[in-house]
Amino acid sequence: MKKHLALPIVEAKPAANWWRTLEELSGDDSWRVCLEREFPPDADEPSASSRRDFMRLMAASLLLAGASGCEFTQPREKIVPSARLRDFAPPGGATFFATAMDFAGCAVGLTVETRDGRPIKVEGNRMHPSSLGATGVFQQAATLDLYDPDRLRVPLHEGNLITLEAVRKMLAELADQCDDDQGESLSIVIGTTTSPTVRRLLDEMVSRWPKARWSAVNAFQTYGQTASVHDLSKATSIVSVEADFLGARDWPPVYIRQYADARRIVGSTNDQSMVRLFSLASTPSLTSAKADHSLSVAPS
Amino acid sequence: MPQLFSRSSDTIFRAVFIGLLVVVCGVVGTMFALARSSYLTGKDITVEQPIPFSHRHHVADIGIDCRYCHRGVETSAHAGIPSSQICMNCHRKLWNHSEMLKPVRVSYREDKPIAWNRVHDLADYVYFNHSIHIAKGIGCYECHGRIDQMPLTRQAHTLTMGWCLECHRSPIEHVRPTEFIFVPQPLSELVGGNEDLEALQHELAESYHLRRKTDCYTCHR
Repeated sequence: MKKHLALPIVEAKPAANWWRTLEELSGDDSWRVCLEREFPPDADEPSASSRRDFMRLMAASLLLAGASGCEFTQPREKIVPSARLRDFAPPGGATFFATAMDFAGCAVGLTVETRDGRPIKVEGNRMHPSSLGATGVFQQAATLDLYDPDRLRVPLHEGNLITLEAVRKMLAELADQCDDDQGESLSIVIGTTTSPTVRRLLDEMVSRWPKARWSAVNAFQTYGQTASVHDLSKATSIVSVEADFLGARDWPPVYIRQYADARRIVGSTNDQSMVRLFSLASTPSLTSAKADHSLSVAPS
Repeated sequence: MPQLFSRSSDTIFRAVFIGLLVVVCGVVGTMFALARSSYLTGKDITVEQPIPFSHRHHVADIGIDCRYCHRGVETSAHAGIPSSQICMNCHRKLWNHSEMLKPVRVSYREDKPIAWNRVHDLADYVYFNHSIHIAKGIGCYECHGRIDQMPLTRQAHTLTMGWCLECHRSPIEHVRPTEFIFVPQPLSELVGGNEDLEALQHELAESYHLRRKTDCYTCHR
């Protein structure tokens, strides 16, 4: 599956054989305009004005900003109840849903707070072993994904909207075809996942159609991509090689909780001594900052 | 040495002093009057709504209980504005071709909420909880007035801090039996003579464990 992007190869310039952007490398002239000007050609530019004009404008803006705070009446507010009854929480009350988010090959248990049927906040699920109540930045940002206008709401087929009935019909036809050739014509591509349900479904598929193939490919690669979650609470020493597992980004957020617990001495229930953290990294990170012994190494 | 001030300066001084006093009192008085005017408190101002919903029709003519639509009033801080689905419970069958109710049908069908204009708007630094008022025997009428006589919803009282405190200082005069909490009429119209009323309210205050609530943090928390 690995395919390298072919970059345009140009003669090294005598002055410099390094480049900063792909445009510069390709020798395209349009980038030079951007380098020479502060603003792109069509952007608004402040007209030639004196420092005094600028001060005048700024003073006026400041004054107006202050005046806008002197509103006499309260701003008119709207009340927007949901069109349909979605949950049974009282108005203004919250309903919490337990869910999980598969990210970079690890499912993180979450609770989603909804009000009037609208999800408003994602937090970790205390009872889920890969979260223990913690979340990372991607889980926090998932709230915005739910309101993403580009989020797929209806099935697409070759770029065209189709109905669910049409999808079911196509899948039924596909199943018939696979029954005929034992799945030789079937190949499934999925993202890396630790979901036991997906695993079971794939196993069911392969047992029914032995010639079918499936492969896991990711749209983008992250450091945290593992198909397994480690239990740091049992570790006495942790060696991190270019892995910012305390960064609350690609790694399961439970690591932060486990690390914090393993470092705790006062009130600790286990008799073990404090866990030691060794970090080898090319760039400083939260993990290397926390490490007992941190070593900077060149990436290559 | 000649006189520094002429004879007339006393008069000028008095005139200026009185004039200043009048201006200062006028400005302060105007501000006080303005703060209590319905322009700023919103009292008796009818707010335009996407649908001209009539409480008079739904409460007085038909007799729907408040809690049918405002379902959070007993359990939540917010009474809650009904979702279009609650309107459609009846209006699926009744007036289901009315042009006036078209926004409700569209909202329900397309699952797009109706944006109502807020009528009762407390300042954001005020904590208000509907359920505790209901639980302590304060009826809808005490704040919302004769909602059963309002073709279009308006604010019956000023909702200023002074108005809230009037009741918080002596809640006993505003308490009513549980069965009349959702009846939008003054208690005196619902029970007999004035002496009975006072005795009843004292008894009720006892049973509701009613107390003066005038600590700042009761509302500003």
